[in-house]
Amino acid sequence: MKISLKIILLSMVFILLATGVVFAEKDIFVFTSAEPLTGNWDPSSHTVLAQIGIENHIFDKLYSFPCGADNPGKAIPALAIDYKYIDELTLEFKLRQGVKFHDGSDFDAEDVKATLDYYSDPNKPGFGWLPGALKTKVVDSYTVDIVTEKPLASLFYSLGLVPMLSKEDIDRDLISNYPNGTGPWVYDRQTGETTIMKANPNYWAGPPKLKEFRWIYVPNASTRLFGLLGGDYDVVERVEAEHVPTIEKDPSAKIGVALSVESKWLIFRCQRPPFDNALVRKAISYAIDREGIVSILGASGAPADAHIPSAKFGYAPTPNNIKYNPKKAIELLKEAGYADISKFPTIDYITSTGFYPKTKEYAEYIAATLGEIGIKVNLKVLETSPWLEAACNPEAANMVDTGWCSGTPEPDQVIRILFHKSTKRLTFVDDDEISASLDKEQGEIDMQKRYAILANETLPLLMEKVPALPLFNSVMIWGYNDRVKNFRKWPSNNFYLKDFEEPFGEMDVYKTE
Amino acid sequence: MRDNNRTEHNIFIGKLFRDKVFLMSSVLFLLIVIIALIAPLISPYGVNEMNIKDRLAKPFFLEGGSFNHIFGTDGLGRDIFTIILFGLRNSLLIAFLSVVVIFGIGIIAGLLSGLGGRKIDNLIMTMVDIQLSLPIIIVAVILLAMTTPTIFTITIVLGVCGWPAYARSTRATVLVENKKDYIVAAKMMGAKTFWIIKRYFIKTVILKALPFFVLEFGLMIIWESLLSFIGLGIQPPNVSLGTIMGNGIIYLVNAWWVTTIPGFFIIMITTSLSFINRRLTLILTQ
Repeated sequence: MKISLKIILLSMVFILLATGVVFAEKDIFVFTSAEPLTGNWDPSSHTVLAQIGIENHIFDKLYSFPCGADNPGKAIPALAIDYKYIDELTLEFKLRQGVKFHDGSDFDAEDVKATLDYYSDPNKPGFGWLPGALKTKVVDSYTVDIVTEKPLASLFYSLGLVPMLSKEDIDRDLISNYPNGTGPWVYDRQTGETTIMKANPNYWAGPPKLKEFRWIYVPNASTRLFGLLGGDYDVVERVEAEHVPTIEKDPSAKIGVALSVESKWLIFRCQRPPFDNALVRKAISYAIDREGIVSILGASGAPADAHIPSAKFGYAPTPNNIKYNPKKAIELLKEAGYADISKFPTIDYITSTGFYPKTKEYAEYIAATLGEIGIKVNLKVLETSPWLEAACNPEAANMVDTGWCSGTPEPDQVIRILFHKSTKRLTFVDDDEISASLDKEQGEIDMQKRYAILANETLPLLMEKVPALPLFNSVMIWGYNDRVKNFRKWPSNNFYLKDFEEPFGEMDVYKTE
Repeated sequence: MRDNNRTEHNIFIGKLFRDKVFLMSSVLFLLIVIIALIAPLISPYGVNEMNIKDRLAKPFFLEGGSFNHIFGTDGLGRDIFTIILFGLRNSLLIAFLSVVVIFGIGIIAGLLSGLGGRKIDNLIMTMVDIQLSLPIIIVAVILLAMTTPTIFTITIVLGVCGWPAYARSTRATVLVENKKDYIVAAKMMGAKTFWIIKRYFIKTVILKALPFFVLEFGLMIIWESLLSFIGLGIQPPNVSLGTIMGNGIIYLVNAWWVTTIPGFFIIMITTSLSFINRRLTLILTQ
């Protein structure tokens, strides 16, 4: 009898544990990223998309932007609940009260000031999110004034990119070690390529009903696909266009598509030969068949006819948009002093594999079309981590393939960061005419006038001098498990998990006020 | 003496080709080598001829396929039959050169170890032990990640990774042969070491290594394909069987031929070499 009772009790414990495991699995959301994390939790230390993505869940910003061609200017309040311009140099924010950091400390105006002061260091990559160094004044515990030296049209949309950090963490230099934000998800631990976050029970917008959020780096698109179809992953990003029919045929999985704010660029290193010559850059651009590249991409790409993607404020089709014309390329090279193309130096060209769709394929196509006019290309296809390192290294390569995706309608987050001489990033272009045009549009706070400057001056100038060639605009394709209801990833490449009904509810975001 | 050698040689060849499987395997392998050699003459398209509009065309044996591209096209519209022909050239060349390096280094190291005295023997065998304790793939990946993978660097890396086993095998052969009466007698009669190596050891060592040469060739095809598959082998615009397979992996679900057909060629090469090796081993150990 005793033995039987023991067996019964043990069986009950086992069943309860097993059931607990099943329930636990239901409450776990698994997202797979195509890009690795940086390993440094300081949001100002990088501009890496995957790291920005995971930070969106751990940190809050003052507000956020769904982005999208239907209403690119829409902002959703988060830690800021209201704003107004005191004068053309001063933007005042009212902050949300009752918000706590994950370590239990209160969020207030001092944290906003400390964060913006921290970011206002030109040596930090995150400085590029700001339109310049800012002066922040604490008016009271929940009111801050942000003051600029001159009127800056890009200020409002740029500020929404900065995650709010704790003043104490900044003062104690703890930012890099551990992410302490106010967001809905609390960092728990990392094992291998998996980052595990737990639901924040004290989240100001209400805690997520899911218990755990796993963010996994899976570099290979086929592995992500099979993981989704096998039920191991709930959402996978960067689905290859060829995998879409397979996912659509599977009853347990779905496809989501959005024209994103991401542009894919062919970056020219403008600080040294041969691409320190704008005529050479233009010539090479004419030798590249962008329509062919969009064909290779299939559903993953849309044509780009401007240096601003169509989902952002300021987009206008550029009248002098470069179209594939190898004869014109040869003429321009002659004009640039390369009458004998065999004397043109070999171009070192770096691209990635496994992260963006089809990078290797269209890189080979670009090398082939350049080869047709006699340009020799030394193509290097790198895994994501070494590619990231090479992309940020000004001495690495003459041409680099990269994407640029900033989750804001603000066009300066693309064109100023990449092409103004002060930012020294990727293109390293040092062109006074381009910088002057960028300063002019940034200083125009009348949005209609600003739009006219962008459409009629800045964008045509960028297409003329082409410090980087916009290859196409990315169409984000993600696959998600059928149990994830109404999942929608924003064109800004962000997504939020907040409230969920069983098993996963509406993926909607914060209340707008 | 000459007649005896010729007779021995004829008997050896006769024994080999008596086996039908050996015959078929040899013919198949030879055919693959020949088509690789004459690839520029028989390829219907240029190796990097891209036709974007015709990308992922099906092979002739699938519905919707045609004889315009008998094995279909890849993601850039390149004819798969053409890139297999040129890929075979690079794969076979790397495999052959790697095996030459492996055996060259292995045999020389083995001879030095067996005949060079205790200190040299200890030194070389220690190097062998260290090398054998390191997984080949990790060594190859590290070395190739530090350099630009070319036919030359891949050959050297694979050669450097593969020599230890043959050094040991050669050393063992030399130690056994060194004790034989005719070697002792030759030494007593004043024969120099180099002459003894040339007259007696080389033939024995090479004959013993011959089956392994064949097997190693097949292994090098696989290693080269693996390295190219993971992006550490031949770089674009050059192709090998591994790069074609690696490029095609994202299409595995909806255009399986891009990866699978080159893989089939690898299977044909390694299977035929395996049968050749089996017959050689059987005859040489009789």
